[in-house]
Amino acid sequence: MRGKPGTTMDFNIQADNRQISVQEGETLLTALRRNGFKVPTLCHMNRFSPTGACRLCVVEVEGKRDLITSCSFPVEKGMRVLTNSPRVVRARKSLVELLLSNHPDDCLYCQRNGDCELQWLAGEMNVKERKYFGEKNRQFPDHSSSSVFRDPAKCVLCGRCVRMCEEVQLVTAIDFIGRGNVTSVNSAFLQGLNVSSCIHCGQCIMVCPTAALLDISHLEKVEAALNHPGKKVACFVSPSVVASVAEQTGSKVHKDLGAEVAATLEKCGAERVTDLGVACDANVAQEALVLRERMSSKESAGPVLSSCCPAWVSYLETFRPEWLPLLSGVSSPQQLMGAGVKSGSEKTAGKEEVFTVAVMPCVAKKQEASREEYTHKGVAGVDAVLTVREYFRLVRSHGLVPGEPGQAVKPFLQGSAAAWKMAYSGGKAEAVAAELYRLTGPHKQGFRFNTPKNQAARKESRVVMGRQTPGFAWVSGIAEADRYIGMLLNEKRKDIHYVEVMACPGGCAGGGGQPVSRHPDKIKNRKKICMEMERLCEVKVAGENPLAKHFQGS
Amino acid sequence: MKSDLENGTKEFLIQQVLLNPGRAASAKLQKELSYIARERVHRPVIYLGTATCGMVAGAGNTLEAIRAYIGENGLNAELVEVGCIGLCSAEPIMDIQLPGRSRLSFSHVTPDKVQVLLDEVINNHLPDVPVLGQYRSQIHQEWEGVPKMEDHPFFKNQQRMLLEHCGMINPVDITTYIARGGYCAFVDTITHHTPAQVCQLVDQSGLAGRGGGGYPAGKKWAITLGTVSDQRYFVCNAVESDPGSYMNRAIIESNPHRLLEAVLIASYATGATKAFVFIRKEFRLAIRRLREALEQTREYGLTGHHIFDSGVNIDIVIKEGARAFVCGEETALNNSIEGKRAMPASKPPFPAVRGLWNKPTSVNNVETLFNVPLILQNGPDWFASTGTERSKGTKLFTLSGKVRRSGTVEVPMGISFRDIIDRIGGGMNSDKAFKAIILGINSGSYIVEETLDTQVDFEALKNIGSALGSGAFVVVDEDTCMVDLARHFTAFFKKESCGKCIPCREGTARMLEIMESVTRRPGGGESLQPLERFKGVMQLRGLASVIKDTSLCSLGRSSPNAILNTLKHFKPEFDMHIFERKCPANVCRDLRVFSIDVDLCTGCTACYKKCPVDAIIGSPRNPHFIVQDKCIGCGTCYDVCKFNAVLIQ
Repeated sequence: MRGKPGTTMDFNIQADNRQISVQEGETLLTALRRNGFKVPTLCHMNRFSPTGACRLCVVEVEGKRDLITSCSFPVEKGMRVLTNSPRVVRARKSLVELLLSNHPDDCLYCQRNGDCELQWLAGEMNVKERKYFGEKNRQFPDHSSSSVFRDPAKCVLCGRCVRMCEEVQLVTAIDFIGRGNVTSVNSAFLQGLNVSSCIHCGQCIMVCPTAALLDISHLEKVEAALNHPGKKVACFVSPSVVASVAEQTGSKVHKDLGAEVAATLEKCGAERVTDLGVACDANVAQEALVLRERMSSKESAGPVLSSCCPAWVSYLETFRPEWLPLLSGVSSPQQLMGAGVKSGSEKTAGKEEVFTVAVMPCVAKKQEASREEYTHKGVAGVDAVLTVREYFRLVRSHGLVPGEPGQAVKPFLQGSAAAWKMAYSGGKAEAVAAELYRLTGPHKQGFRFNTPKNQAARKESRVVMGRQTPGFAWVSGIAEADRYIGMLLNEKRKDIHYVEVMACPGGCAGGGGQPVSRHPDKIKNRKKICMEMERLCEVKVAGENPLAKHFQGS
Repeated sequence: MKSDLENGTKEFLIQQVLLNPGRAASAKLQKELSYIARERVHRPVIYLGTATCGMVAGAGNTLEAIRAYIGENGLNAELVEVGCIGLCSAEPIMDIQLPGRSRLSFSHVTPDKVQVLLDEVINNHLPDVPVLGQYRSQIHQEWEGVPKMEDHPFFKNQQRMLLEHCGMINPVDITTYIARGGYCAFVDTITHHTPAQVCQLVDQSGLAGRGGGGYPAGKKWAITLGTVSDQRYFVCNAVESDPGSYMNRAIIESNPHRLLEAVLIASYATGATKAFVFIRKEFRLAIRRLREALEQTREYGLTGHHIFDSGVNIDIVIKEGARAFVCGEETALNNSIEGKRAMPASKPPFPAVRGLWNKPTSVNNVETLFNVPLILQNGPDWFASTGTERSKGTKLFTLSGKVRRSGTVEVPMGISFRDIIDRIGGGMNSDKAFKAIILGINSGSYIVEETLDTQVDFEALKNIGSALGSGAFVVVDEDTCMVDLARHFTAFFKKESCGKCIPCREGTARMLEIMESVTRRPGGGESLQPLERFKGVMQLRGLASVIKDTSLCSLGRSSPNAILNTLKHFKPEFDMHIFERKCPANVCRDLRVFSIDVDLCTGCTACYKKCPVDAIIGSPRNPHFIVQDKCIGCGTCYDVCKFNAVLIQ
């Protein structure tokens, strides 16, 4: 936490026989990490208020009787800190050993094996033998949700999911329950997540250090369909998944970026792999039409709210039903695509059943696919949704390396630049603006979508279209969205006509189905890849994509 | 008519007493006040202690009996329910005050004694039953041959500042409280002192927090007052949940107005316009009396908006806290008031800077606050004259356990622990040897024979490695197993841990398992195997020190104290449990071995019939025998044997 320039005071403190420069007001942990000290943490989250729950970041400060947690303690002048004294190391090791004493020892059967912070910590602390014997808590897993799976037995009660759910997403579907060593993170009254206020965004999974929170797996369903002789598996891959895989595997941006993804899926046995970009274009084009209509009607209730994010829709249904009429009502790209593929196959295919699989950066899409509204005569538009994590597991289990070079049968990418824009916060608003500009055009003045340089400031932009200058806004994270839209409605503002809402901070690039990672840079990298891909796209505006027209009216 | 009188009293008290700076000088006023204060009475007044301790001792039945007596005899007498005088072991205590005569006090007044007692005393005779004492009085005729209350050994060695009205006055009668000088300090304060001056006065007096930490109250208030904010709060911590202490409950039940006055002063001093009294939900009687008292202060205009035209606004809210030990921790308490889960937060920021709803909030304990009106009434120097150099004033203890007299006691700082037991407590209640004083689970400190001459003083206790704690004072003798006690305390912490930080949540569970492996018999099934048991024991000290080092709040940090102190003072007892599998105090059930002395056994079959696991074999009129493999060590045979033939090893 740095103060404003000019008001900070720099001074030196001593850490392990070294003088380090610190700024007044920042915590000891921030200062130590910036100066290259390694301090383990479990409950700490950047940009969140410290809770001091895990105690792993303890350090010894001269003159203090107890060890202090560096995550919550502000730096003081004349401080002398020992970050690795025997007392500190012993305390940290004991803490990890205590956690392990109440943790199921099933690492080999665990989905987060190798990707688990507790495992890493045990390795770093050099835990070699079981030190504390005792009874473990009996906690039961919660399979009830259609998107998020919880296993409280593996929970280390760091509270990151609780803070994420409460502070960023405003949902508070889960919280601490019980006292003493039977405390658990659970939904209210120990009922399942399915009856809680959960909006399925999956951000809790993204912050969970262990396998206490996972996505409900559709992998088994997909495997069964792939091996079923009577089923044709049609996969559609979201552009943000393509970007995420490229980022994860380190592939360079090129014109046929998704081909590797398509090729791996085809090798796994998928009959057809298509790009979801077309449906994204269709979604943008339709939302622009809704916007044009809403703007021309006299009695405007408020701005058009984007409806492509299923977690956002769930949030509105649960917490803000009064805002539901503002939703654009356009189906999300996944459902447009699913319905398109299924209705197409209904006409042509005779005997073989088509099984549609969406590969998405999102766990809420699993819940969206299971919604009753998206079935037609009892047939779901999308049969299974794989997250990026599940995609990796599927591909690896088929002996393939994700991102290995390979050519899909057909040219893969079919979307316009708009499809790539949907992958990050602020992109969709721009895409819709561009489409509206095209619809209302031709205009004398060129299309200019100004994004504010200071990202912390309000994210709004106005586009000049002839005599009108519709306002576009974008927010990500439910708390921010709720606050912003509430403000728009309270102040009865007429200058904002369209609000793009993504439930996950950063948009789909930071979606709940993305690979679990602690680096905030990952979201930025994915966004960068998408923006580079936009430049490579020949078709720039959603409505100009000829393929997108197939989805009109669906 | 009555309402008029009451209104008259109210106006009189407000105008002539509260708002009259020369109140002390007028003898006429003082005489009038002495009637309201029940120092003089027009008709016989019967007082009965109906605080929780009294009710538990059966004061409810006594109360009914007195009511029936008054009704049957058409007696023109007043019956007043008072709080606890402190001598809980003598409850139910009944006092009788006749016009013109000094007040008499009787202990252990069961319903059957009521008739005799009242018959005699109302007719100006002393009954045959022993009298606890009479109160000293200069204006009344004293009873002959009755000792003074202040000469009673229990009271003689105490210095009763906080307890001065407890058990004497009707707790829910504001008129008595004002007539005895109450609320004058508050009214004088808001009319004559600035908040900063109050902080300074309290700081000068040297009043330290009595909740355990010992932080100077005046300094804390000054920090809150000095923090820039649009809103400040004051919180009174009345969550007294330390096992073995109940003096805060007792003083609230006995004198709730003193607490409210202190909260008002403290709120004024810290610049708070809203104060919360956070009290345990279990304290039903205390809550009821506090609410009633609060209602009276509202009627008198002592709380609320624009108090006595001074421009001071203070609202008091009584908030009942649900059952959780951790609520006593100030940050957890603040969370609980905010409606969140009672979990402690890391400090800094301290609540004095950022507390309730992120606003500066001073949190003080009940006992600390009880001192405040006295300091403002009599000045900081008067307060500082009591106590030692570093620790000022008096300290309340809940004296209990194996002593002759128990209850709430107030001693000046600097008295030795030996004096409290021997003089106030009257020594051990049996010929068993003294073993330790347990100063509350909160501090987990023990005072043992060698440290018994230590003074009650923050510094002196620190020097011997203990802490004053919350005020529990449990005396145990050699019949108590210290290992079992440490296990019991650990079980308490395991249950009460909030579950937030790892050391306290997981560590207390593991410590408890280790302690259980020490105090229990190694069995089959799920219990620990010997090697694992020894491994656990070896790690106990290390684990305990890590928990002490790293826990988030003081609750967690004090959780291993009992074990560490047992290891420090009672190592041989511990070793005996581990190596010889024997409990010297014969408390740990699983380690007791029973046998039957063949010479003493008459073969009465009493034990044979009662044994729950059929571990005793034998035939009538022949000596019996206990099969050790079957015996669960319950001790039933030991209890039923009339011939002392069952032996414990």
